[in-house]
Amino acid sequence: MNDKTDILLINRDEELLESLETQLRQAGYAVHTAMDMREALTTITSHPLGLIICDHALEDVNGYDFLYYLKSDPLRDCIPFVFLVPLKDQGSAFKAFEMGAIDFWVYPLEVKDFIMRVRKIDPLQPSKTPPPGSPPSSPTPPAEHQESKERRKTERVRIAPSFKIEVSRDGIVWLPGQVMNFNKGGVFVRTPLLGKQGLTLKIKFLLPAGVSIVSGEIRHIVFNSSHQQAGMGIKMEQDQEWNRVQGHLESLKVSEMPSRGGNSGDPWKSAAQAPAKTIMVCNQKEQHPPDALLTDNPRKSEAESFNIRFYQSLIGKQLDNYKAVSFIGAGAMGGVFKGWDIALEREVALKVISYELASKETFRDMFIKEARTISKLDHPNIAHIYYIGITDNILYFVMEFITGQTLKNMIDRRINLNNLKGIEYLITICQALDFVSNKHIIHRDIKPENILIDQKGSVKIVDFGVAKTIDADNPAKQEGIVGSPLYMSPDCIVGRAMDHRSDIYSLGASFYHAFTGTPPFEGKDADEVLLKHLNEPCVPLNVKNPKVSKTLGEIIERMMAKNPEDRYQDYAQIIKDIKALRSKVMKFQKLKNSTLMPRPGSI
Amino acid sequence: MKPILLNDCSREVSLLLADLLDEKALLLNERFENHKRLDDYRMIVLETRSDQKRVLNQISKMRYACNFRNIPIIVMRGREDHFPVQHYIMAGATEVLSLTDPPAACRQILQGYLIPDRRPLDQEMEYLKPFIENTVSVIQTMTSGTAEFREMYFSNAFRIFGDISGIIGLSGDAEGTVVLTFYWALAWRIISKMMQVQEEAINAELIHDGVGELINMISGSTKKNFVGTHYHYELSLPTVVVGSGHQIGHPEGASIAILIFDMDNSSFAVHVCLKPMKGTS
Repeated sequence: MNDKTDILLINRDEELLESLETQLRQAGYAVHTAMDMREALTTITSHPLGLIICDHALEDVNGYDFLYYLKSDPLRDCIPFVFLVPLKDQGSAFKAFEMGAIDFWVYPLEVKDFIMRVRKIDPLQPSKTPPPGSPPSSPTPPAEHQESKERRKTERVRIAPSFKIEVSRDGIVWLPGQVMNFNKGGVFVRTPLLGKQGLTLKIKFLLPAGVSIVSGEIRHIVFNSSHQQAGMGIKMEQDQEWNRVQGHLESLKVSEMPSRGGNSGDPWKSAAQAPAKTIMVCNQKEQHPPDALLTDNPRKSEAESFNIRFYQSLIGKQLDNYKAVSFIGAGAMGGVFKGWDIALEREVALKVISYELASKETFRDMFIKEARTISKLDHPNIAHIYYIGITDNILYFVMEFITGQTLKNMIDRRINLNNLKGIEYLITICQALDFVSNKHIIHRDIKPENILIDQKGSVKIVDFGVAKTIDADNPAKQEGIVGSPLYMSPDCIVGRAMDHRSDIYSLGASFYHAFTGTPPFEGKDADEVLLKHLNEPCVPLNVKNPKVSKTLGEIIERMMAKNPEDRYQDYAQIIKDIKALRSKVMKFQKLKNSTLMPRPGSI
Repeated sequence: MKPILLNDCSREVSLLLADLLDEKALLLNERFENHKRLDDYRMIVLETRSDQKRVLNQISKMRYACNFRNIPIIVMRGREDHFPVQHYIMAGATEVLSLTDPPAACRQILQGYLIPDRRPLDQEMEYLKPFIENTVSVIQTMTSGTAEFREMYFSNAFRIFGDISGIIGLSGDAEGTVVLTFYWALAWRIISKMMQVQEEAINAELIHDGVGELINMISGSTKKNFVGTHYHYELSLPTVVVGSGHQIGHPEGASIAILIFDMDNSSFAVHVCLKPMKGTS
């Protein structure tokens, strides 16, 4: 058996930590837990670890920083490292691969899948041959460890494990490094930065109390091989800052004291955000059961990982007349790039459909058909689709590029929308969606992320990727569930024939979120949220936010009636009611101003 | 059309790739020989077998043989290969796929990498052209050698595979980074000429000074071209980095242009990431 079979779980959420620990112990693993980097380092130095499962944010440092720290340490860089990220952050998790993680798992994860994934990790499996003492960390010659042992004998104190730093000449370009040993006068560091004797460097130390930057002068350089990092002895400026750093380094040479602060964050809280993503369940023969797509199963997160890698491959490429200049982000439908139209010489948004959807014939046909219809929507508040194309089997849309922020960004930044501006946005969107519904089209994914406010303050509805044309006289049953669970209408959830009233519900739910700061229904996963949309009455708006007027609350609540027949039947009626409310507000404000501010000419 | 090199791939991998890729793709199953140049391939695929250390070594050599060109190196892992992915990436692989991965995903990823690199936009050439001209000119002045600009592409990675790099941070109206990267052999020759010393006498200090000076001169002379424009920048101090696979941070959302120059049967690269700050004109 392999001798490194212990697992280290690092997470700042105590409850989650306990739950994962129990699952792993029941599966027969020896498990250690830590809530912060200091605690984790203590465990790493004292146990034979075969796997580290680490959350993206720890109590004291960012999870990526910890990964970087670990992978910079030649003694520890061989321990497989898996990142645990919430769904909403999975886009940024790709960098974990480049930094040395063997995988990232998107949570929430089902117990069975979690254990199955752990079982696949190589060092945790029985091996016929004894594991190498130190697997190759890079193609460079393995002389480095030995060389560090051959350093001249000094009274310097070695830190175990070595301490991560950043080194810079100018305070602008920072390069990673690690303190191998230190004494009162200075440090010996390893870094790819090549300096020379007498040069002054800035060294950034990440201390528990914050970042500390200390200057020092290079006293000697060890550079024996062009394939190895340089070693440098640096004499530090003897100031208070250095004393502070030195004190911390001293504390590392003795055994680290675990320090548990308050549980400041709740990683599972982000799971509630997961339902904000668009989901699609297609009624195809090869489809997976709806539950499989509604819950964040491993297959789904694996597909997302492939998609991100696919989008990555397109950066710096050109699809027909459109250049993918930089990557903006990924959604359930596809990846969006900032693009450039070489023929018309203008900025565009390029949306590349995910490999999973693009590989399904039904989806491909649906997209093309709908894109053609939607390209005909000519309205100032609707982002235009300029083109749809397939090149080398890659399906993509070209859309109007809008610089600005989404309604979701505004909600996240806690910008108050419970005012005239918010009401104006709602009226404008209703007018645009009225135009859309008159063309017998439904958007099917109205949510705050798809409402953009450009730099001039104009509102635009974007992402008609799942929009559908409907036959008003002969409404057909829909072909699957489409939309974002946080804002999905009950008619969509139960698979009834949909019309514009489904968009009205989603719009109501979006503005419920905008006016109160929280979505109408929350839950630990999509299933729970969807069930609440179906069965639970939503908390009245002015209960959640007493500043929301009763009338506005009633309008939104009527937009969100469970039964489509009880909702507003068209946008014109909503616009009429909101405009009436706006007039009242304006009159009130006028009155307020006139009583508070002296009129010109008056005393 | 440039061929795709299948480096000593098994029949299973060859058939899979033939199935996944466009039928027009030209697949050559050959064994990579040391010192062979790989500039003329569209993509390189190699298969992992039992000896991962040998594969890592080979990836590293192949990355060097690409001479800074944007040639994707794809590692196809066998079913039993559970070796950590990051080691392959650190060695120079672009992507690591497995025989057990969904074929549709593999197809799209491979096709993504096979799409030709985009050419620079006019507004990008506006700031790249001075860098090209000044690089050629500085090399000519300092070494009496001729560097020829060959090609450019926009990178999707932050990792630089070269032996030694000079880096300079830019700030001011525009911010970013300029990096000059060499392989050892060429760096040695250039430093020897610049410093007028025998190659055997080159030490860490000469390397530091030589490469630092070159990047300083290239960025400094180019800066003059941008006076009065929104690309104008101030230079920080040059930093010299050694070792393959070092990672450089660039401003978020900025394009990273890789300019490749040929000189004395070798190549070197200049990475330019320059982003005008908002509000400047």
